[in-house]
Amino acid sequence: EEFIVNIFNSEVDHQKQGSELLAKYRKLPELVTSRQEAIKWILKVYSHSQFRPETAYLSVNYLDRFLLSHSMKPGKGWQWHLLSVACLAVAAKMEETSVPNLLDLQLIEPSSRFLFKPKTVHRMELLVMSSLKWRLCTVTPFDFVHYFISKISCFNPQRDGFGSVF
Amino acid sequence: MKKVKDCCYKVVKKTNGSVSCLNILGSEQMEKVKDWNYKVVEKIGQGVFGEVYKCLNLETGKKVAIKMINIQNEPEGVPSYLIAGVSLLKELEHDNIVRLLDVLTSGRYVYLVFEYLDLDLGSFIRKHTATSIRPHIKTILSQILVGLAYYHSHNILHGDLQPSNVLIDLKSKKVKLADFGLTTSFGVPHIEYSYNEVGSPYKAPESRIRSSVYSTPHDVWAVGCIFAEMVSGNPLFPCGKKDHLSLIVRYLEDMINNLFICYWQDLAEQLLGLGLEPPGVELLSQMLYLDPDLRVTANGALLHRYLRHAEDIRIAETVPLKLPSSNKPSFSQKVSEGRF
Repeated sequence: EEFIVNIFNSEVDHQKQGSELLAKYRKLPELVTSRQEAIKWILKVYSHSQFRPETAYLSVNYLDRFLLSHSMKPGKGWQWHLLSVACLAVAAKMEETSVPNLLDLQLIEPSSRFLFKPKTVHRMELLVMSSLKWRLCTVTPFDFVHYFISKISCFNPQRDGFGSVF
Repeated sequence: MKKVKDCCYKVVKKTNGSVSCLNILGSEQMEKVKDWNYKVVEKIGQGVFGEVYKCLNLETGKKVAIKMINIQNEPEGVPSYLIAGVSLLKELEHDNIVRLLDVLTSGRYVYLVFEYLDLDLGSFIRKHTATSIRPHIKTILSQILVGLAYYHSHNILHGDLQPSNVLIDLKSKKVKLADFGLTTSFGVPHIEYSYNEVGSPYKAPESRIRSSVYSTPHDVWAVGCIFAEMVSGNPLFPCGKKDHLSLIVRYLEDMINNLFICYWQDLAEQLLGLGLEPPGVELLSQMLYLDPDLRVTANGALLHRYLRHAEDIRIAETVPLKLPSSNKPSFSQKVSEGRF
């Protein structure tokens, strides 16, 4: 039970950030198009490499939260692409058991204009993570789904409620 | 990772005198922490992934442990163990767990700033007699279990519980679990654990048999070992001169045959002789239960009658604790031990 309480609490924490971000997007509509493109690329790579849905969710979450703390100029395409690569790389390392290296990750869905050195992406990863204050264990809707599914299917009399959380 | 880290602890302990010369050699990259207002005091450990230094926060005057990790410029970028490990540690916030205060980055280096306490349970046990520790056992044990239950409620395994990873804060009278390595979340497969660490005396038997089995009962086993060590003053399954594995096997044979005559009986009698109450022996046997599925959980252990009202007894209320250097029993210590 403690587990579900924990994830509810951290969900409430993150909701605040969501409304701040919405306000920012309303002020700067040109951000929205750049963001959409970034997300489009992330989703393409996601479907090609058969990542878990959590990975896609987290990448977009990191991207949004990074935008809250940094003002990115909408015009600079390379910045946006570098950001999406870094966010996806970090999210994949959080969720996936095997992650392609930074070059292969970019080549799954090559951008027409940019290919970054692993060293550059590596730096961007560090920048993204420190901007997010390394709070990368974001609660996703999937956490709730997994929890409730395990509750429903766990009518094993040998296991008590606590055991079924794991 | 774990294996090498253990060895390093030993190295540091043995070469305590010559650690200072290592400091100067290894701390070139640590110069960087000056920019963040930290002063390096000494090196306290080294592992595959980095070095641990004791430092002083010049702003607050507080001691911290800084773990410096060198990220090789691999094609993978920032390694996933670091990303997953640090973000897990960031989520932990509990009185009985050492906090990760800050994560700093500079070039290829990542610096993890941890809360630091001067006294660990290992040296506490070594420097005090069993009788002077006895009044604190319940408090220390229950605080360890509270911290562990918190870990487990967050789906995190400690994985390396041992007395040197249990820190004691004399001022706030708190026991805090530390792991300057990186904790593991279960669900994330961890390659490191396929290495068999025969060297650790706190490792549960099931993880020796099948190295892939690694779960919350493992931590409870380690707490059981620590519990027994607090009572007797010696590791329960010491490695070293005696064959550590054969001791465990003897213990397990007893358990399997349900004989409870040989090793366990001896042990129980020995612990009872050392002043452990019968409920304590009962709790210990539940923590050292052979079948990990039937072993008591951290939360379950906290509800055991041995630990009832344990939270009411605060450390050092009965006997003032001291840093290991001063061993002489104080007046109030003598009083409470009934020597007056």
